[in-house]
Amino acid sequence: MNTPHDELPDEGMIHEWLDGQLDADTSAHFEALVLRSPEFAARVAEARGFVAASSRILSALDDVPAGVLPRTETPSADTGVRAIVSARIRPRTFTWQRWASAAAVLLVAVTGTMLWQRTPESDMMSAAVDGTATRSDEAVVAPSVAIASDSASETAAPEAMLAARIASDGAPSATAAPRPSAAPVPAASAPVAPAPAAPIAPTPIAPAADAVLAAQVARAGRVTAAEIASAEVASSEVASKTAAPARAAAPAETRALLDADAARAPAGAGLARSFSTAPVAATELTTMRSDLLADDLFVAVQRVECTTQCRQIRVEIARDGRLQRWTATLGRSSAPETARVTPAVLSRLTALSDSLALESLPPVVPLMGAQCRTVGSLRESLRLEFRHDGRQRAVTALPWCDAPQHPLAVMARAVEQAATEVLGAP
Amino acid sequence: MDDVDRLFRLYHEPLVRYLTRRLGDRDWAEEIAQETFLRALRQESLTSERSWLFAVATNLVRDDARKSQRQRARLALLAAEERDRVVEPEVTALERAESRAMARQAIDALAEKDRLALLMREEGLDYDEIAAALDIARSSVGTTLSRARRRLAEHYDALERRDEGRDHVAG
Repeated sequence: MNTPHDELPDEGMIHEWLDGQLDADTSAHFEALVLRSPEFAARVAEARGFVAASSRILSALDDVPAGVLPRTETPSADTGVRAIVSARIRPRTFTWQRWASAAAVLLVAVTGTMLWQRTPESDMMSAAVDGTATRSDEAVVAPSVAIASDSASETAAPEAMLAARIASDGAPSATAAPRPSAAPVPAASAPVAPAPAAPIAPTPIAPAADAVLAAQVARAGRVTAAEIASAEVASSEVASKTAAPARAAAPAETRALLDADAARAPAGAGLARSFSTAPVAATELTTMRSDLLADDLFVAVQRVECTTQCRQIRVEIARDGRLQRWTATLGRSSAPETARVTPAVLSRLTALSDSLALESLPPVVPLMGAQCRTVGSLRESLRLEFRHDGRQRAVTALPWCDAPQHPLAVMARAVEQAATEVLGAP
Repeated sequence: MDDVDRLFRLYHEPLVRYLTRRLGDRDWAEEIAQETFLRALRQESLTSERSWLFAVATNLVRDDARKSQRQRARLALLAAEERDRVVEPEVTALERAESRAMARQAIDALAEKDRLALLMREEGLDYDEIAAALDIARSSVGTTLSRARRRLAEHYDALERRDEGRDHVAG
């Protein structure tokens, strides 16, 4: 026989019983009531759930680092922490070059996940990553100048769209960063290409080629001469977007420069050069264009988070309606191996990190987000968002999808390959 | 009070855990616990020692929260130094940080009395002790705890759903 609803003990009494705070007689009554009344049994089950849940939730609070001020009772303290941290960090850590490295790491990681699905030359890329790429591959890979306004508009829809945007928006943002010196290439760049035929040394981008690019872009009226001058290293990145098709369409003068550049490059130098120049180039290029591609044209499909120490990177990918994520640790330290991050992933990401001189990053890097968007005819752009000096900043770039053999693309696919090992084949 | 060693052995760990959960700062929790035991040392006798300790610690937290901005700034500076120095090595740190932040948000959303009662109960205080420590009727402890647990779980669940929804939107 069920007990009438109004005779059932209230929730407080149930918790008191579950907490063992009732006397023996009342407890016995409750036990019998559970057997008699399904409704009461359900209430007890619900209360048990709340008891267990609250214990579980509270246990998460035990993993608390020291020196964290409570928000609820010291609302001003939070501001104080930020102010002090900000004041401590700003003067000694920020350089554009470091930001460039950080941004490039994230750009590469996110872009790799896109490129993998879109590029048919995965086998070739694997070969390149494994260090088995042929000399001829690298000759094609060697970054040089190949952009031309005509060929770009013929072969690359995004470039055409970009040009249209630039034309409509006027001069690009004046926030283009001054060109930092090229990042040093540690010897640790070797692991990405395990067996180079010759010692890897960074090679500067051919100045003559940059001049050609500058002239071409200036003729097209896309950017100011000052911006071109400040971003001369970016030319390799511009080239990387259109290298293969644009090379064929490039003027003879440019092709000759490109060939000469490739001939000068020793075996394996392609990767090394990309490591030394591409991070800087990518960031400068994207900064230059950040204001021009500010529109959100498509839903984001990826997100990258960087921990405060920038030693972890987490990529989230929406696939088949499900959110998948993987986390890896960057840096030289022996990262712990988990079920989700294989040693191969760590090895490659560590090599990538080393190659981009991530060790020189500032100790605290604000939260970064990265989003992938589709622009027009299915060409993705990347948008990196981060916070610096209390302001939200963003850089946007078109990827280098048209140059699948470019070292940076190879490197990106190495990351994607590592991600695939975790996530499984797309 | 010459029995402070026994008190310390019995109650230091649960008291620090209670305070850590309450404050979100282990250093601060240790300081408050230390001060609590110092005050216990000055007492001639304690009739209900556990509830006394938790009640004093709770009051010290309230008093400490009113202290000068300068002291907090000093703590903040120490915190900043610590954050600069420490490198989190574990790959699960992000997930743990998320859970911790949501738990903190959920517990902060509770009414003060509910939160304290729940934290004390989690440290094993019985209903009489909780009633004494919080100066509330013993008969209301069950109701207070049931409300606190329900709201904590519901709030945490809502935060989780919101987080998942944001992830999916972002994805």
